[in-house]
Amino acid sequence: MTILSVRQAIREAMREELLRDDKVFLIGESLGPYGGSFKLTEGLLAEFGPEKIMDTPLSESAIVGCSVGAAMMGFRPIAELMFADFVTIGMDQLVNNAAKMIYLHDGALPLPLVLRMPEGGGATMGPHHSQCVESWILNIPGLKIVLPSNAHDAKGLLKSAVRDDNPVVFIEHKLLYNEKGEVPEGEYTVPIGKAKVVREGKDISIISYSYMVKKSLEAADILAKEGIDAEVVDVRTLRPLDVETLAESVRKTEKAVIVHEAPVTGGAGGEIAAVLQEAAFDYLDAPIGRVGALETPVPYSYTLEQAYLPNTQKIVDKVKQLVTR
Amino acid sequence: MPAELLMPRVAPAMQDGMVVKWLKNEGDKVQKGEIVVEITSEKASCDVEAQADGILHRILANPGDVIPVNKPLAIISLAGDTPEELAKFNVAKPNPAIVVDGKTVEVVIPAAGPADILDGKIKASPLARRIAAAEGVDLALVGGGSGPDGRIIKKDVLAFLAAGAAVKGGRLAAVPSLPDRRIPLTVMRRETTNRLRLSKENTIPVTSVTEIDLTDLLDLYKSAKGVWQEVYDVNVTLNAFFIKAVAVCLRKHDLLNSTLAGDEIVVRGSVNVGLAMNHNDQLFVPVIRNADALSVREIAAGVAAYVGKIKDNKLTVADMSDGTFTITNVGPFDVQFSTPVIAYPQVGILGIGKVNERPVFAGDAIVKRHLCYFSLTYDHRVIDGVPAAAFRKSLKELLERPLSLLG
Repeated sequence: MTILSVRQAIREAMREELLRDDKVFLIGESLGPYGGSFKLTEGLLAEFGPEKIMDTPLSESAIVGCSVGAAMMGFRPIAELMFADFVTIGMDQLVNNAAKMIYLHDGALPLPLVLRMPEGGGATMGPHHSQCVESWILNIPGLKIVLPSNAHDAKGLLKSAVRDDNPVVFIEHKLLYNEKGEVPEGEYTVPIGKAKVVREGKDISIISYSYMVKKSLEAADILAKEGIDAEVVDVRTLRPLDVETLAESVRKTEKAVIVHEAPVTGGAGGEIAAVLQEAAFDYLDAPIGRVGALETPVPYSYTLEQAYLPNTQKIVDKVKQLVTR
Repeated sequence: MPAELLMPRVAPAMQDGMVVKWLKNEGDKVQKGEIVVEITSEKASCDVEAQADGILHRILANPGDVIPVNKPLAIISLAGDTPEELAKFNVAKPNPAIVVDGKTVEVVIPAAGPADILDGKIKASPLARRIAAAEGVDLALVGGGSGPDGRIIKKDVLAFLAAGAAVKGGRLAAVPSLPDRRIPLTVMRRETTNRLRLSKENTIPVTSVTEIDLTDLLDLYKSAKGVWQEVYDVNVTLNAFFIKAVAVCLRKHDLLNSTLAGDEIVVRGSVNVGLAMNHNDQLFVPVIRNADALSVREIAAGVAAYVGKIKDNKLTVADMSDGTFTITNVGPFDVQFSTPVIAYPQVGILGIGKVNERPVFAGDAIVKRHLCYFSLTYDHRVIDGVPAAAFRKSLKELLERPLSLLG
């Protein structure tokens, strides 16, 4: 085992995949000499050269479009968007080409494309650089969606994403890049489509993903001191969604709260709540709760942004509403 | 001025009656003398007629409601009534009462309120519902839950189960104690309990038992029964003979056909014998009037008519009024003898037991005879032991020489 930050883990995954398969290349803005906006590609240009570490103009449409074309021709591009918010510019290529190509050609053309993007607030980056976009993409069949919460999963999941013949949207959280965690030495992958119980408990299932897993674990610690034994489940991938692992947890705890940073309305939590009540209706002893951001754009002001974002205390409060003792 | 349709007093002791069925709806035209509603009281049903032509403006009592005598059952609007006059009677109908698990519960219908009250649904989590269904728990009995807004959650159902209440199967290790069942007194049951209480409070009862040989009476009965049925179309029963014999004895020993009124014993002029009958677990005591003056066949016809009325639910208060003495034949229920309770203000009641086949000495020979215990309960305040014994002796003589009853 070695201790890596999420940033290091993702860089290792890309490097190992570049070494493993010469069809793999990186494409995005400022990846090369600058080393990436969040320094994820630092040092890779020197090792792999500009053929593999490809800088582009400021055009997300071009980045995604080039990647779709390359993937159709048998390459395995790892494309990076500077901020997840900018996916809107690449949305046409993502939605109308990447997501549909396999279906339009009856599976004859695999589309092994990975589209990485950092999302999330908490860094006073304002309304255009702080959004959580996963639910925008969740409504598009054909796109796998991966949201790692730690270094181990980030590396293992990214390697799985690169080797997957379907387009994978790989969403990283800015505040996780410096989060350190244990990562195995050598080769390993984490399968896409498997949720993980990261803390066992019996009173309620806190279901979360990405950065909010960290907050959910903190909330569980506080709740434990008050006698509430919360289980925390990391969804890890929104599509495919591991309904059975989530439902199994809820059948055990009989209560659930879904926590994500995106606004509650229209968020992935609604989808998860819906499938859970289908899968575990007769086990529910309370309504399924949701914790997420407020119904506004992400504020620039630090104070307002902190009020806007879900946090440990909000999770604790919600759980206490649902767990009656 | 609108007219009130009142709960009638159909018997002297009647305090209230129960609405059975409305034959008219609000807004229907009613004519004077037309039956508007059926009520029940004092072990009998009664029809209530409109006292004037008009329109049934408002019904004030639901079927099952018990309304005191002379209180309004409905409002009938008459020609010329003004809206202002009618508005005074626009009172709300009382809430219907329902019986839940033996308890009478008034159904509260708020004028307006939260939907969860209005639609009568119980707030419970899916899990609580599933456990309740599996364990046979009626969520209505669990009561307010401990979840938000009183929602019943799993632990409420488990606590209820642990308390051992209302469990269908033997799922719990401990044997659950079942909740008490509460049966609201019907008007009839209340009347019966009142009468028994009056008897207990107002009489000093003594019961003595005489054994009577009914062999010859049974022979006579058997031979008469078929013939009377064929010739007179009368279904004769042993009770007709008993009523006749008792009536004759009452005329002779008329202190048993009396009542105590203050400083006087009032010996009743008529001998009206009540016969206790059971139908659908309800007690009816129709009265054969002037039974001493009737033939056994006439008495039999009267009893048969009453049986028909009881089965048709047509027995009236009048049919059960004016009894001066009562017979209760409990023999068919395998009772050797009983200590019947006097139907106050009467002073005597005769209980007839089971007819037994017994070996009896006839001279030195032993013969098979049909013997029966007759228990006479009498009010010792009015009758002493000797006159009571004389009554029983006369009864014995008549029943053991049954041809005398045909005179």
